[in-house]
Amino acid sequence: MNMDFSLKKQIFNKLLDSKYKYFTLDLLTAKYYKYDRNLNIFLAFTSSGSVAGWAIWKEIPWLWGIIIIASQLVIVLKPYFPFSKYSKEFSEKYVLLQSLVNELEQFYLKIHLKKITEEQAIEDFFKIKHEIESSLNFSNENDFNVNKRMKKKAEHRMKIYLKTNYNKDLSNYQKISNNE
Amino acid sequence: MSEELNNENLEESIPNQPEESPNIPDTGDLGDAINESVDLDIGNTQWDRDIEKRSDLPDFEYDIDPPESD
Repeated sequence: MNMDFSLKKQIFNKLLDSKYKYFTLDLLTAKYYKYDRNLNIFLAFTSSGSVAGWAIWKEIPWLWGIIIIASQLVIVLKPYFPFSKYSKEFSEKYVLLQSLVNELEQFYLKIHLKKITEEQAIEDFFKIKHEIESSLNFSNENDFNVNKRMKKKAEHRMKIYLKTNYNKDLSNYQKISNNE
Repeated sequence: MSEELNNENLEESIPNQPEESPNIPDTGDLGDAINESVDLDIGNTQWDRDIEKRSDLPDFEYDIDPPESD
């Protein structure tokens, strides 16, 4: 039962790409969760009556004034930075993607161990691929970006994943975009 | 008779159509500017820019061969 190499490679690369997206999604969830939490901590701090009564503000009233102005600005601008909404969407997609990536990993293992026919592999692969791609459609309001630092972190996780699961060293490979 | 009169009136009421279209006055730079502003780059509208900006998770940019089966 010899599987066509290009099909196996396509499935393997889809698995790696999905795993990378999964790691990125995890980092995004954590990032927006932190933003939302810090914003809420700040608002809770400034609206606390006991904090307002601290004697230190009598010494430096201008600082308390700045904090109050900042908190009012945050309250006004908060609807334009719906971090909790972003975080919720990322978290939901993360859970969904996690199960799909596990499914794809299991599927790839079956292919690797030649436990599945080529016809069955094609049918199952496109079904899982479609489910993964559908799961990664974000709402129009969710306007996020993935910065270089986050990409590096996700790549680092991929490096560990590849080494531990497939004994592949990512540093031996070049980025496709670098080759162009 | 009255029909002929009506036809004559009708012909008179239709203004003479110019044989050639009237000359468009030369608006110089202003005309060029208007023409340029009308020439929209449809392939790169705000909508397209929003779509491009629309978030996508980055792809894994490595081409790695799968491990060989035993």
